[in-house]
Amino acid sequence: MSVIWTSPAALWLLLLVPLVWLAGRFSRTNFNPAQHTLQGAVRSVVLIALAVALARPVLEVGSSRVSVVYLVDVSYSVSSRSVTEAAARITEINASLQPDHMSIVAFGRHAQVVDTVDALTAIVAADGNGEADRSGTDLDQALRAARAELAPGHVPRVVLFSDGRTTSGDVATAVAQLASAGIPVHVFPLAPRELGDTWVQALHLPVRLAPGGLIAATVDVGSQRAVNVVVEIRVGTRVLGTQAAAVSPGTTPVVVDISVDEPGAVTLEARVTLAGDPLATNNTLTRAAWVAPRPRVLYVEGTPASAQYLRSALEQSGFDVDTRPAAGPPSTPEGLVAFDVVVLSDLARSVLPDTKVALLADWVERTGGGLLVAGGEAVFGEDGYRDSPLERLLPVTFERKDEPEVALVMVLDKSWSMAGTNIEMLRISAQAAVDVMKDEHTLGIVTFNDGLEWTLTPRQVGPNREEIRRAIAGIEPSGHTLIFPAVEQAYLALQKVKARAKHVLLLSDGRSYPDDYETLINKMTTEKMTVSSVAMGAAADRELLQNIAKWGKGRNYAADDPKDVPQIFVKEAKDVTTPGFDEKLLKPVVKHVGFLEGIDFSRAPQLRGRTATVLKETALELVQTEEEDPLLAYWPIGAGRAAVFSSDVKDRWAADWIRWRGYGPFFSAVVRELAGQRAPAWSLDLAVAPARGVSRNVTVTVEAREADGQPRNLLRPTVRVQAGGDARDLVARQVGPGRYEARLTIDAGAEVSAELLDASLPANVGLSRRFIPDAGAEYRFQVPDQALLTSLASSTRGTIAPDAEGLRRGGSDSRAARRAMWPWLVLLALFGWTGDLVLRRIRLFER
Amino acid sequence: MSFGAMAGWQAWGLLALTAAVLTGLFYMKIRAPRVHVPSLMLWQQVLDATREMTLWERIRKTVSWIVIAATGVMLMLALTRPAPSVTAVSGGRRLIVIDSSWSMGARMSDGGTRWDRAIAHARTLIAASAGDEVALATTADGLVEGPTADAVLLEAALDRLAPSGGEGGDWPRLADVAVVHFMTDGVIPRATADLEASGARVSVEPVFEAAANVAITAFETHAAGDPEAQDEAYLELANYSGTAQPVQLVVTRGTTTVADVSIDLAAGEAVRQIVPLGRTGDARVRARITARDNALAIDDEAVAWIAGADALAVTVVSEAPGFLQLLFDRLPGLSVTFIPPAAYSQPRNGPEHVIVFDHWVPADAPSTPSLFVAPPPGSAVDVSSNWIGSARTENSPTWATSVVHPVLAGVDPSTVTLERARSVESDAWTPIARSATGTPLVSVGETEEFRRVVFGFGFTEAESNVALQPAFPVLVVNALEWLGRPALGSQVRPGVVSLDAVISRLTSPQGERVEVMTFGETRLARITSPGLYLAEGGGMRSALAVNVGDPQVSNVGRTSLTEATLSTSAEAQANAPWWPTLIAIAFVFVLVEWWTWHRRITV
Repeated sequence: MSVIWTSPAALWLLLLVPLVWLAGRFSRTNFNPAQHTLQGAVRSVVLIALAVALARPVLEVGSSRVSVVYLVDVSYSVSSRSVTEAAARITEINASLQPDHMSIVAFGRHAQVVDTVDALTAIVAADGNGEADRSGTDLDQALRAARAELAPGHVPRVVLFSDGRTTSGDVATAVAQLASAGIPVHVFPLAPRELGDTWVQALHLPVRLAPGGLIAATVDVGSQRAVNVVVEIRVGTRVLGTQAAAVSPGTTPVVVDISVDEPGAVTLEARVTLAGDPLATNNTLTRAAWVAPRPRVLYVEGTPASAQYLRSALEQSGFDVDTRPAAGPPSTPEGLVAFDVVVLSDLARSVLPDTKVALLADWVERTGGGLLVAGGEAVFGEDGYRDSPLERLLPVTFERKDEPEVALVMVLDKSWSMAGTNIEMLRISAQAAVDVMKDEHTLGIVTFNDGLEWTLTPRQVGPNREEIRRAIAGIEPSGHTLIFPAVEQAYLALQKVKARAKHVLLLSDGRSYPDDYETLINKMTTEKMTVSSVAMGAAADRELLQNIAKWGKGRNYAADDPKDVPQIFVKEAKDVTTPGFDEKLLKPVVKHVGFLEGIDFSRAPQLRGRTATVLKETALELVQTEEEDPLLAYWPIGAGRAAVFSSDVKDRWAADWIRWRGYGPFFSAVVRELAGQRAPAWSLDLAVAPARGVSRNVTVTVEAREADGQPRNLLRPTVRVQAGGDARDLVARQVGPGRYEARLTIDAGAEVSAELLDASLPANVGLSRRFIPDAGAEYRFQVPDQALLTSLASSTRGTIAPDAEGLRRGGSDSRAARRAMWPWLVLLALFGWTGDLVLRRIRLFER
Repeated sequence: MSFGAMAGWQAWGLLALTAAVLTGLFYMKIRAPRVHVPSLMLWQQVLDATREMTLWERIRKTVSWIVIAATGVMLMLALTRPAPSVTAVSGGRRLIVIDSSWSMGARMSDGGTRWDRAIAHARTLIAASAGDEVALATTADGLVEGPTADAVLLEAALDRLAPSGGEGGDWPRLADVAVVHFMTDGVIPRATADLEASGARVSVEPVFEAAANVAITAFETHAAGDPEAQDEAYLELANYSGTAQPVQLVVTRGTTTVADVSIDLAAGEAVRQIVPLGRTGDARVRARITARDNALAIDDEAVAWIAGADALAVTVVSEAPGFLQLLFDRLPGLSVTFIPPAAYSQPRNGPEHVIVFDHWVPADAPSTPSLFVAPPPGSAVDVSSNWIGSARTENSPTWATSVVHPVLAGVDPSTVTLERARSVESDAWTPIARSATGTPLVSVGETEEFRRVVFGFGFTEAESNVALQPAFPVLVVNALEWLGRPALGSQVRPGVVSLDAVISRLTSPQGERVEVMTFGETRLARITSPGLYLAEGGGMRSALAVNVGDPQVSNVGRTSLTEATLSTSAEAQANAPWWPTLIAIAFVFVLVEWWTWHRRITV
């Protein structure tokens, strides 16, 4: 028992009660002291009663009278037999418990009080033809109705018979209110209706959906029997994917691979088809999804004619690709904002100034852009990106980790025309080239006029430097010019030399007889030899020498001034001894699957070459060569990510790859991973509250971020909300840093979509979200939601499936019945007042 | 006048009877005291008694009679619970729903609030219920009393009610209701179609009177995250009145005033601004406004909590912290102490939020939220009471699967290479990342008492490349945040709120405990007033900022009620019950009459 004081301040009036006794000391009445005391006591009681009454006390006294409300789920998903059993259980509990008050509430979409258990069974017997709406389960409403039915001042007991599969309402809030009111809910799970039915239970999609890419959608198929089904996912009438599966009783997940071409909001329908299905209502499930805008790729290709392969592969995988030539990288920050990933392919450093690289670096590191650099011979070494700002961004350095075995044969013209300065410069040039060669390299020198001579047969440089120097110094001019035999000799000699790189450097200043140079050079290239040529002076057969270099996949130089030749020789020697690329067949080996999961490398063709690179210490190597050189390296840097594919992406080194089925998936996986880091400038969220009665609340939240992730404030984003047939534009109000909200109430059964209207979004895609209520939720005959029912019982201190005794003990055994006390106190005061008057009129004690 | 306790004739009869009884008693001759006196004196006394009373004596007696009778009648009248005349409504069960939106607290021209008016009107309706069952409900609390015919009980319930929000609450349910009386100011629109669908007649009883108000309608903070940048607060002030007026705004961070400005707000103007809060300081941020025409007080103050403002106290137990030390030395918002395992003891003293056990596990389970990095294969795990579970080691594991968990947010497994992983398994741990062969790489444990995280891998070069990856600070900070600071949503409004599953105790700004209940995997609490609530659980503590301000609530000058509805406004004058007044007057009479009687002023 306890007392609640509604206006406790009135109790201060009690301080006046001593005045009653004070007044007695100044009394002029002639009652004897005993009667005076009695009069004072009565008057004090009157005043105390009135003061306490003014404080409005409410007495809470315990009551053991029990009020039970039986809450029975009669929705369609519950079997009739379960309801009949519930009715029998109610009768049984009533007989044992004999509650002082009892009420039965049947509920489906709505709750209704029924008079008897027979009325319950009548509802299920009517099977939808009665007044009860069984097309939904609103447990929230039912629990509130149960609370209202409990008799005040009684010990409350709510007994819930349900499968716990609620389709509307906010059970959590109802439970919170019941728990705080001390009303226990005891639960009897009800079995679902048994039809031998099969249905679509749920459609699960990845968090992020990309257009064009393969999406593994999982359809949970619920079934009450083992059966073969066909599951399909469609958009409107277009089937995106189909999968046959054998499902067993319970829930079977079926994965269906689908692809959505266009970005934006999409409504997917999962459908299950099977023979002999008794109920079609639940064979489909519609779900709204958001397909992210196509990642935008800026593809800068050093060889524009070969850009088609990667561009086509990326476009087919759902990327928007802007292909540009070597001069294409933007020179302003605004030019990069539109892109998610930049691909630089075989781009010479000379065409990519440091200012543009600095922009790229800022874009990657600060705003989370993705950068893919693909190899090519132009990117290596000091003339490439070695020690450049771009290299700092990348997970590799452009250097060699090994010193290759190199064989160089110089084929030098010593005809009469070379006499004088030319032959002197030739000697100097040859010696300079030898000086940059390392000891382990192999060198041969063939000199020719109308005959040929092996001035130096191929041999290792290191132990023979003095001999080589003497041989070069001994070259003297004589005779005419005949190139072909000398080159052929070089070819034959190199065939016998064991080296990873074989190169011929041809120098001539005259014209030779025509011959089948092309066939010879092609043979050489077939055997991985390369040929460079130097045309010395104006009289040289420049066309022939150019062709030889072209066929030989080497470089051609025209030296009008003989003094330029030493420099050319040194460069050639350097290039050949530290090649920027390896042109040979390379087998890719996956070292770390990472984001390349699902790509079948077992059938990947060999690559024909790669740029020499060395992996940085903290970078991740996903694909390497059999020699453990990096092919695909990757690392996060700043807010963004960068990757290097050290082979190329086109028809030179990747000539076989571009025909491989994995070519597109491989590069789209790389580019998608690189693109995933950019925090969107805008994000939109549609929070739809559970339906309550005929309506539900919707909150649209917009978040705006700067490129560096900081909130964008003081905007007025407009959101177009379409609910049912009505569309209206709402200005979302800012509620926090970078966060904006619009709230509205819609019809419970209405579809609702929200679209962000903002000029900064791509023209072809608005940011939107959609919610589709599940009209068939009631008809998916899942097993009882034990988790919810158990939680409901435990949260309210109820129990699961109690007997009558358990029901009596489950929860408090006494309930506070509240009584306002002031009328009794006033009545006491009234009697006291009357008695007080009597005591002033009748002398009880003689003086 | 009508009587809430009985029929009118019964009340009048009782009052008359009371007056008659008291009058009868009053005029009863008082018997003189028995004394022995000479006969002359006796005769003199008889003559005195039979002589005619003076005018003064007559007045004195009449006043005495009036006071005595009136006091008795007033007490009897109070018992009959009189009220202004009301017409008894037609029979049937009735549901009185009072809109408990915060806007109902707006003051009106008579000094009372809309809530007072609704309560008064509810009393009138209860008085007019004529013995029918009445249930009392609010939009925030649902059903609060009844259905009952006990009017005293209903009135007592009315006395206990106060506005507490409930803007989004469902309609209370009651079967077989003939009439629903919904008392509202209409500031928060509510469709009554759902009520009407139940078959009840819905009577909207407006208690609206336009009022001017100034409010903080949005307030939220943003932690800069960057030590060089300032934390900031977004603030929206609105003047919902027909005239311009100055508004004094004071923003404090802890005990430091960061803004104290006067802002001139035009009629109907809303001002949005960013308030810089400095780089460091207290986590508690408070904004308060004062203004002249301001009908609603509840929206004059708003609070916020900067989660990262208070440094997290971390103790690292390690022989060789290595990369961990390098990381902790650079991370802002942490107060880190490094101790060797030999110096570790329990129980721990001091303000320690999280302990990091690096390559070492204590024999007994720690009582503080803990992060275990690469539990060792040695004796500690095996010799102990096995509280941490069994362990196994896998060489060169591949980080294959992860679940969505705050500890792994922003961690890119594709950048991580592990040389070996040693993890622990027991029912107490939930793996959130596994290797391709199923070895738990990252596991979490969560109960009401603690939260724990295990990284199955270490950060040395021999163990993994994690320390060299951007994932390293992300992973460690995620774990520390999850262990040391529960995630509490921003912009919480009063009502039923979902809390982080670890929160087991919630304390109101007034220091009162708020019941926290578990429902499924969430924790629920009913919050009925705004302010900064202390949230505790799992060995951690944080604060929950609860605010009311919202244009829908604070714009108390407009209503969604139609002109037609407003014109049907019920007789909702502030008709507080009469009985307390009658009792108060009776109290005064009883007290004063006692003095006058003793002094023979009255008889």
